[in-house]
Amino acid sequence: MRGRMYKTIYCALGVLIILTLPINGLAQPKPVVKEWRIPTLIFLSGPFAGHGVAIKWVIEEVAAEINASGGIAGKPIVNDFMDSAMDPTKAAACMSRAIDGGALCVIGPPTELECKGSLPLAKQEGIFAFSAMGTETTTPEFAPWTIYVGRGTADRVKATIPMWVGVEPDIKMVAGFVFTVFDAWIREWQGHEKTAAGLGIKSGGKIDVSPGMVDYGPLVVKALNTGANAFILITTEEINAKLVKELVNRGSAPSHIWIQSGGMGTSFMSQTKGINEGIYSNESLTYEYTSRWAKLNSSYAKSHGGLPLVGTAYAFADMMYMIKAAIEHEAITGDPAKLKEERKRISDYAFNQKGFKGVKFTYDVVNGVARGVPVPLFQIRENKGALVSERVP
Amino acid sequence: MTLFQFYFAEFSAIYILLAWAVYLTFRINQLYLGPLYSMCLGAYFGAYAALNWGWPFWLIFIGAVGLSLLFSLIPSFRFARLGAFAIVIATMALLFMVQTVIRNWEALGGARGLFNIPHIPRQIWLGVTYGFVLIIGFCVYRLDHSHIGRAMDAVHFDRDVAATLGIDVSRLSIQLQLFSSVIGGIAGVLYVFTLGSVFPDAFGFFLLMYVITIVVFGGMYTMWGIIIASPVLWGVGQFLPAGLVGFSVIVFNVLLIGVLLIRPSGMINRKSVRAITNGCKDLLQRFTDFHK
Repeated sequence: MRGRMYKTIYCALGVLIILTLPINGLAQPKPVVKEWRIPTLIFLSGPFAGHGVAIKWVIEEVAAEINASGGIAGKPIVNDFMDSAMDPTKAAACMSRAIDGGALCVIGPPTELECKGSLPLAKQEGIFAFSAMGTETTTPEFAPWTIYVGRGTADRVKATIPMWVGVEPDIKMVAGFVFTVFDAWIREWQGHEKTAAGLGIKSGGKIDVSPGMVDYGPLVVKALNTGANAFILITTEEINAKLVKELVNRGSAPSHIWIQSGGMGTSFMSQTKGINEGIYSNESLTYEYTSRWAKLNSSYAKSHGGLPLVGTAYAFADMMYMIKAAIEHEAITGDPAKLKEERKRISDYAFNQKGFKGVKFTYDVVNGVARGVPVPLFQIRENKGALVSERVP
Repeated sequence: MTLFQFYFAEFSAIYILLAWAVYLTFRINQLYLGPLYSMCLGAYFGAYAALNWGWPFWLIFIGAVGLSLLFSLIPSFRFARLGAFAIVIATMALLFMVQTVIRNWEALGGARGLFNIPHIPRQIWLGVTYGFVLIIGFCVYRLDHSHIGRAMDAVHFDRDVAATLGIDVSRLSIQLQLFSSVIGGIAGVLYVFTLGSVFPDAFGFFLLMYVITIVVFGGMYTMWGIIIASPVLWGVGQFLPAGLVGFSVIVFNVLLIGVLLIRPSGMINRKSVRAITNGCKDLLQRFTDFHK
C-alpha cells in the first residue's frame, strides 16, 4: 500500500516535471518588444536619391511580406528611415540617433562614403550595421560590426574579361572610359587592364571622363586612335549612352563594348535603343535570377511605370531577411537590459554565415564578406539582358 | 548629453570654423578655398600622428597649425594678387591636387583612408571644440573691429582706392589667407577625432559648396550669421519629419534662395547686428535703471 502510494507520488511528480519543462529554461525566451524598430540609413536626397528611394521601396516591400507571414518571432518589423544624404557627417549623426534610440542593429548606410563616416561610431558602440554594399574595401576595419554582400571588384575584374574574350575572341586591344570621380571605378579599370594583360590583350589606356561635357566625340576619337577595338565603359548611364552612340556611329561593334553595372540602367537602355544590340555588361535589368527577385522586380515595375529595380536593391532585401534570421536564430528578446549582449549576438550570427539564401544569390558570409556570389556576363538582345556566361569566384 | 546632441554640436562647430575661415578672405572679395585643403592636411596629419606616433592631441593641433601655415605660405604670395574668380580656380585646383596626392599615397591609406583613430571622451572633446570656437571667434571679432577690419572694408569697397589710401592689399591678403588656413587646419583635427576616420573623398566639391552656402546664407559681411546658419543648414535633414526627409535638398535650397531674395547680404547683416546690439544695450540700460 505504501509502495503504491510512493509510486503514485513519483508518477505524479514525473508528469508535473514533464508538463513544466517549457518553463524550466528549455523554452526560447520570448521577445519583450511590441515591434522590431530597425533604423534604416539610406540616402533619400541628393543626386542619387532615385536609387535610395528604390532601395527604400524594396525594404518596405520585404517588411510588408515578413509582417504578412507573422513578423519576426511573432512581432512586426518597422523600419525607421533616416536620410544619410551621401554625407559622412550626416551618416554619423543618423547612426548616433539610431544608437541613442536603443536600436538592436541598423540597416545601411549604403555607400562607401557614408560607411566611412558612420561605422567608426558603430564599431565603438558595438552595434551591427547591415550596410550591404558600402564596405567592400573597409569591412576588416569595422569588423565584426558590418557586412558586405556585393560582388567584389576583385572577383568581377578577374572573371569579366576572360568571359568576354571567350565569346568575342577577336578582341585584341581594350581601352577604358572611366568616370574618375569614384576611386572604386578607377580601381576597377586598373583591375580589368591587368586581367587583360594576363590574357595577352593590349591596353589602349584609360580615357578620363568628366561629367557635363557637351560632346564626347573627341574622347571617343582619342580612344579609337589608340588602336583599341574593344571598350570598357565605367561611367554613369547618361555618359555611357553618349559614348555608345559615338562609338557605334564611328563603326565600333556593340559586341565589343562592355558596360559596368553602375552605368547600366533604364536611362541607358532607352537612350541607346536600336543601337545597343550586342553590348555586354555584368548587370541585367530584366534577367530573372530567382523567382523571388522576379516577383520584386515585377511588383516595382507595376507601381513605377514599368521601370525595373536598381541592381543593388537586392542586397537590402537580403539584409532584411538576414535580420529576421538573426533575431529568430539567436532568440533576441529586445530587452533593453540585454541590449549590449543581444547586439553582440546579432553581430556574431551575421558576420559568419553558411548558405544564406538571398533574393538573387545563395552565398556564404566569411568575416563579413559574401563569398560565392557569381559574376555574370550579360548581352543585350532585343533590348533585354540575356545571360551568356557566369563564373563563381 | 546624447550621442546625437554631441555630433550635432561638433559638426555645427566645425562648419562654423570653416565658414569663418572662408568669410575672412571673402571680406576682401577673394573666395579663398585654402581652409579646405588645410582642413584635409590637418585631418590627415592628426590621424597619422595619432595612429603612428601616438602624439597627444594638443601636440597634434600645434603640428596641424604648422603644416597648414607651411603649405599655405608660398602659394599665398601669388594668390594675394589674384582677383575673385582666379583665386577660386587656383585654390580649388590645389584642393583637388591635395586630394589626388593623398589618394595615391598608400602610407596615408590611399583612397581607403585611415581608421581606428583613438577615441577621446566626448565631454572633453566638446569642450576642446567649443574652446577653439570661442578663441577663434574672439580673434575674428577683434580682427573685424580693428584697423585690419577697416582695411578689409576699404578693399572690399574698391581694391584700387584702398591701395591709394596706403593699404598694402597684397600683405593684407597674405595675412588673411594664412589665418584662414590655420583655422582650416584646426577644423581638420577636430573633424578627424570627431568622426574617427579620414578619407580623401570627405574634402571634395560637396564640402566646399556647403561651406560657401553657409557664408552666403549666414551673412557675407559679418561673422555672427554663420553661427546661426551652420546648425540651421546642417540640421535641415536631421529635423525634418520622416515623411519630408527626401525633400531636405528642396528645403535647403528654398531657405537659401529665400534669404538671397529677401536679404541678399545674408540672414544677418551689419544693420541687423547694430540693431541687435543697440537693442541689447537698451534692455540692459532699462534693467539697470529699474534696479536703481
